[in-house]
Formats: sequence, structure tokens, C-alpha cells
Amino acid sequence: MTTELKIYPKVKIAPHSILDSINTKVIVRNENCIACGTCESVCINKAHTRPRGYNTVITLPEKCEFCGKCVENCPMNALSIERNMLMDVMGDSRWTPELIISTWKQASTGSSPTSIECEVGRSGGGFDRLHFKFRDRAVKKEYVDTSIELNKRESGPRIRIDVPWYGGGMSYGSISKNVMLARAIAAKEWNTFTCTGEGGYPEELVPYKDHVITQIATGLFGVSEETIKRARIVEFKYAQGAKPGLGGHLLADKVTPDVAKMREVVPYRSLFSPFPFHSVYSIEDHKKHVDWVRAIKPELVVSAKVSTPSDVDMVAIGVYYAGANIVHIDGGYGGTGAAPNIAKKNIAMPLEYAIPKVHRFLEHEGVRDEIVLIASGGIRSVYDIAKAIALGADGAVIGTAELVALGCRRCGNCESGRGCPLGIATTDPELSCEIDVDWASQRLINLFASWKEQLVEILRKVGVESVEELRGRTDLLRYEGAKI
Amino acid sequence: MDRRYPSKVRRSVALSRYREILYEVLRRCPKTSGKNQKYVFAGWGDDIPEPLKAQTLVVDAKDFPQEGPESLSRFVVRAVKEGWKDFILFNLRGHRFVACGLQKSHGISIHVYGSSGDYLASGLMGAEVYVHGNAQDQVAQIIKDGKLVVYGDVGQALLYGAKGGEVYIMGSTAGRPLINAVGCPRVVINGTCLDYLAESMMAGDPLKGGGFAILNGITFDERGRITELPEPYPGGNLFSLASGGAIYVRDPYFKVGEDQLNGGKITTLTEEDWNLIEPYLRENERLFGIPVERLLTVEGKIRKPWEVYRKVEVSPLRALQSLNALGES
Repeated sequence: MTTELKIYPKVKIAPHSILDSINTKVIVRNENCIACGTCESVCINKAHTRPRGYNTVITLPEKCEFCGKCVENCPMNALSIERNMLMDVMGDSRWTPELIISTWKQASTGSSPTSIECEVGRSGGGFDRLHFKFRDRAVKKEYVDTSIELNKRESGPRIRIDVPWYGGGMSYGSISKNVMLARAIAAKEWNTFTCTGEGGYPEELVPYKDHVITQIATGLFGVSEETIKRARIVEFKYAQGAKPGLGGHLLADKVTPDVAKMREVVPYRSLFSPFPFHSVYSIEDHKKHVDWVRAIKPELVVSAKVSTPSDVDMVAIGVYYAGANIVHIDGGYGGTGAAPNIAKKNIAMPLEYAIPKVHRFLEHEGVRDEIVLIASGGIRSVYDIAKAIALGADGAVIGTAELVALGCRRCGNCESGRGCPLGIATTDPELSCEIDVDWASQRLINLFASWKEQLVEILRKVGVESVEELRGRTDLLRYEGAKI
Repeated sequence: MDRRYPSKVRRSVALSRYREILYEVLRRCPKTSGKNQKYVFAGWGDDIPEPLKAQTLVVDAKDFPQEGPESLSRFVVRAVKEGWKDFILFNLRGHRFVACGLQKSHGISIHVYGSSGDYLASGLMGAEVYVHGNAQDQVAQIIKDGKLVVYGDVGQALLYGAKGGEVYIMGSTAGRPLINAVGCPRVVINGTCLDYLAESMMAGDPLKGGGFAILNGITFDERGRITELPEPYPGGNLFSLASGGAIYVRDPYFKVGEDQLNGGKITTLTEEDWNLIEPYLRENERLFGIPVERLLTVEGKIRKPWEVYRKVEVSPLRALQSLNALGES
């Protein structure tokens, strides 16, 4: 068997001076320390150092692997390993501090840290209680194929992406232009996609247009025949799992002159994206939508993003018969800090229920191999992606994980005032400069490299040779706490 | 067809006969283009003829599929690529997406006869489209530039998400026109509409290049005379939650009330407003034969514009007002 080996983007260290120093634990040095230098001499990572001109030893947390040698060898018992107090204030039960930190580390280095939990959170349900049944079969790594096809119909262009994920719609307005650009660069490097969201199509993204999905959402901001024609894939966003039945609302502070220009609105006035599409009240209306964009560009691959109501399976089959290529189901775990918690937690069906429901219904209807099922909404890690696929999806869409890779701490202040102080979820010209495009794109490239490596490992360990083979293999999953 | 005249037969009967004759005349246009020939005919299955200067392509839509790669809409797109600029499309039977997919299309004009389908002129970017009859739903969605003239009524969600362009509607529209319109669309609706006119409109300040709609609240009686509708706007949620743009309502009897709004406010027309809208009303007069002076006439007397028209404009939301007050304090 010969397999074409692809050259993937190079991993380069993309450090962050603060994030890299944060770990789940800390070395605490008490007043007994006499700066004898023993810790410095036993540490193989050079995590202890004596700054020139000082007679004290300090610990560099970004270098420490918490092996404990320094603690054991300290003659004065001055060192101890303790839980980092930041763990108590950062993240939540889904995006635990461990997951956040492991994502940062992957983005910095391109590989997953062995000492930090990077698979599950502590939500007590969903993907956090699903685990793979690893069998460690001997599937050679280079034979494991992680690519998926995004158009399974007989007609239309073939679009194959190298990894089973792409970036979800985040508009210019919800995130900064630099972040959009970084996402597009990483998508191109990994031969996958990112999505405009509904805030328009910044000109800076045009060089990456083959890897940018044009989203048409209910506000129709920034959508024109040009932006539709430019795309290989157009996504209709009918609903968002984090807030189904609710429209979008971009608060006035984020409508800077640049955002306003892109959306052709008044600066510093709140913007509304209605729910639903005022022109779509039925699946027939959705078909008209699909026909319309294909009247503009016949060779378009069309995706329909829907939330996960209890009849999501019926919605999915309707999406198929309306001619779309991708049904994208968005569960309720996603969303930025802008989505209200009451909506996130109480409306949409949990993604882990929705995926198998849709997958099996499409199978039952005999059309499963003609439509691509993409899952999103709270996909945090490549483990979540693999679990979604094992439950029946073809691939997944990510969003928050990319922002975390750029330094997001899940503080939830995306919508307040000028937006994110880190320059991620903001349009403030001053704050946006906090994100350097080259640095940010490299971090995303690194994260994807780490995920790819882990995905290959997962596939190898469950004994399949391609990610497409994993689809619907619920037999490879076990539910923690299930009575057998 | 485009005007209202007194007639001894029902208008629909007269129009049916007129259409038969018009279509027969159009079908007799030659298929091949030659010098001194103004019109060239094409039908389903015909190759697109080579255009000569100032020629009009006359297309019988009858056997074209209503949608899809071989549809009338795609035929027009291909003809534009071949160099055609002027079109008469006739005998439409629900053919959809007419004038879609043309992209930047300044200098192109399309006249449509028959029963046009939905999404007509959606995404228009410069062309002029004249619909000689009624139009359907989702007309001129996301229109960016160009001109649309409808000699009849229009269905739901006219100009949804519009960014610009000039639109003239001889009759009325169904619900939800101009929802989420941004940029600078300029619209004249001579009749009325059901409800939710310009909900969430975000089209800037009309006096500084933003968008607006003029609602005249008139109709034609059986003898083709202009008459007043009982109410210029009978529905609710007029201009609700809008943060830009304006509605100019011809409302000499002050029938539109604040209870029909949701966030906007009714103000008096200024001279500046009138200077802005008068050219559009003059063009409306040219297109539909609705004299500006007649629009200003109330109970037999020509009035000042601000006695006849009222302006619905943006009002800061109460929630935001209180925030501002907090900020100021």
C-alpha cells in the first residue's frame, strides 16, 4: 500500500511571556531558602536560575515540569509543589483551567503536554464522560488518514480538507481583524477552512479566499454577490446552538468606525441580527436560499448551520433534500461570553445526543453517504472532535479553542465595553494591536499540529486507518459510569 | 400595462390581450443579429447570438427551467458575459433569480414581462431592472447598487438586508420590507405595506448619505385616478428597533401614531428633508405618472411638503438613554 505523505505546516515555537509561565502547579520557595544553588544544579530543565547580580535563586515556571527533584534535594526544605491558585479563578467546569493551559501549551509548542489533562473537563456529562476504548492495534502512523470530503454528492466540486475540522463563523465585530486573518492563514496552511461570520468579508482575507467560508446569516451584514462568488463554500446560519431562537446583538461600543464601514451602518449604534431569517420560514424557503446562491455561483458547496432542537433529525433531512452539501449542527455548549447563559444551558439539545440522532436518521433515510454532518458547539480539543466523529459526525467546527490558543482565559467579557482586553474579541483599534498576526497564526498552526498528532494517535489506538472509518463507531466509546 | 387608464373591460382582461399581442410582436424579432437591427430574439435551446452595438436581446422565457444551471437567470448571466447589455425577458412563468449573479453590472438594463419569480434582483450591483407587472417575495434582497422599478405590487421581505440602490414600487408591498437595511437604499413605495416596515434598519443618517423609504399611501381607482388609501400604514412595528435611516410618510391627516412604532419617533419634515426626497418623487412621477403636485394636494389644495409628509426617524432606545444618563452623571 502506498500512501502519499503530505508535508504539513512547520511547527515553530510561538511563545507568550505570561501564558507560558502559567501552569496548573507552582513551585513555592519559602523563607528558609539560603540560595545554595542545589535546586539549580539538580534541575535538568534549568527551571531554577540565579539572575546575574543577585544572590537569590528564582524559579522559571515555563521551564518547570514539576518532577519534584528540587523539592527532594533541597537541604533546607525550602521548596514545595503546590496547586496554582489561578486554577481556582480561571475557566469553568467545561473549559477547565487544565484544558485552557494545555491549549496554550499546544499553541506555544505544537505538542501536547504530558503532565496536564488535555482530554476532558469536569462538567460531569457529555464528552467529559465519554472515553475511547483504546486497543493499541498496530496501525502504522503514516497510513492513518485524517482528511475528510466536504461534498459527498455526485455533483459539485470535490473539496477535501486535511483535518476533520474547520473554523466556525466569528464575525468582524465579535473578533478583531488580526484574529480573523490569523485564522485564515492557519486554515490555508492546514488545507482547511475558516468562516467569515456575518460581519462582512474584510479585504485582508481575500488572498485566503479558497479557505474562507462566506457566511450568510440573518442580518445579511456584509453579504454581497461578490462575497458569495468569492467563496467555495457558503454557509447559511439559521441558528446558533448557544442561543437558538435569539438573534445577534453587537453592542454599540464594538461598532467602531471600521466595523461600521464594513457593515455599512452607523458607528457606535447597536446592531441587531434578527431571528430567524425573515425570508425563511420553512424548509422550502431554505431550498430557495440554496437555489439563490447557486444562481449566483452554480458550483458552490452549501452548508446549513442549525441548532439542535428535539427534531433536529427532521431538520437535517430537510436540509439534505433542499440541496445542501453540509448539515452543520450546533449544540449548546459553545458561544462566546456574548451568549446568555440561560440560553446556552437550557435551549438546545446536548450535542452528544444530537449527533447520533441525526446520523442514524440520515442512515435510516438512505442518504447518509450523500451529506456531510458537521458538529459544533463546545468542541474544545481533538478528543472532542474524535468523539463527535465516533458518535456519527464527519467532522467538527471549532471556535473558542482557537481563541483560547491565542490567550483567551474564558473571562466572559467579550461583549463588555471595548471588548477583550487581550485584543481577541474586540474591534477596538488600540486593543486589536495586542494580537500580532504572524504570532497568532503560528499559534493556531501549532495547535492544529498538536491535534493532528493526537488524532493520529487516537485512530491508531482504536485500530482504524482513517478518520472516515471512525464515523459512527460508538462501539469504540465507553460512557464513564454506565451500568453494563 | 405600466399605467392605469379608464377601460370598459376589466383591467386583467385588457392586460391579458395586451400581453398576447406584445409577446407575438416580440417573438417575431429575428434570431440572428444584423446591422440596423435593434432587437434579436433568443429562446430555450438557442445559442447566445453575438451582440452588436445598441442591440437588445429579447428572450422568450417559456421553456427555460425556472431555476438551475440552464435557467433563464443563468442564460442572462452568460449573455452578459458575451457582451449583451439590454434585455427584454418575456413570458415568464415564475422564473426565479432574474438579474441575480450579474455582479458589477452598471450599464445593463433588463425589462421583465410576465410572472416573475422570487429573489428577483437580489444582490443587484448596478443594473437597472424594470418589472412590468407584480413582483414576488425576497425582491432586491442585499441589493447594493442599481435601480429596480416595479409597475405593480411586491411580496414579502422586499430589500431585506439592502445596502443601496434605488427602488420604485408603483403599488404596495407585503410585510417586512427593508428589514435590516443598511448603507443607503432609497425607496419609494406608492401604496403601503403590511407591517414591520424597516425593522432594525441601520442605514445611517439620510441627510448625510444614508438610506430612507418614502411611503405615499395612495392607490388607483377603477378609472386610473390617484386616490388615498384609508391609512398610509395600517400595520405595527413601523421602523422598530431601527438605528439608522428614515421613513417619510405621506400622512396629511396624521393617521400614523406613535403606538405603531417601537423605538422610532415621528417628527416634522424639514426643508432639508424635502430637498432630499423631492428628486426621488420627481423620478417616481416620470416612471409612474404620479405627479408630485398631486401628492402634495390635499382636499383640492396644494400644500406645503411639511403639511403632507411626516418623518419617522431614529430615537435612542430607552435602555441606551438610561445608560447614557448614567455615563453623564
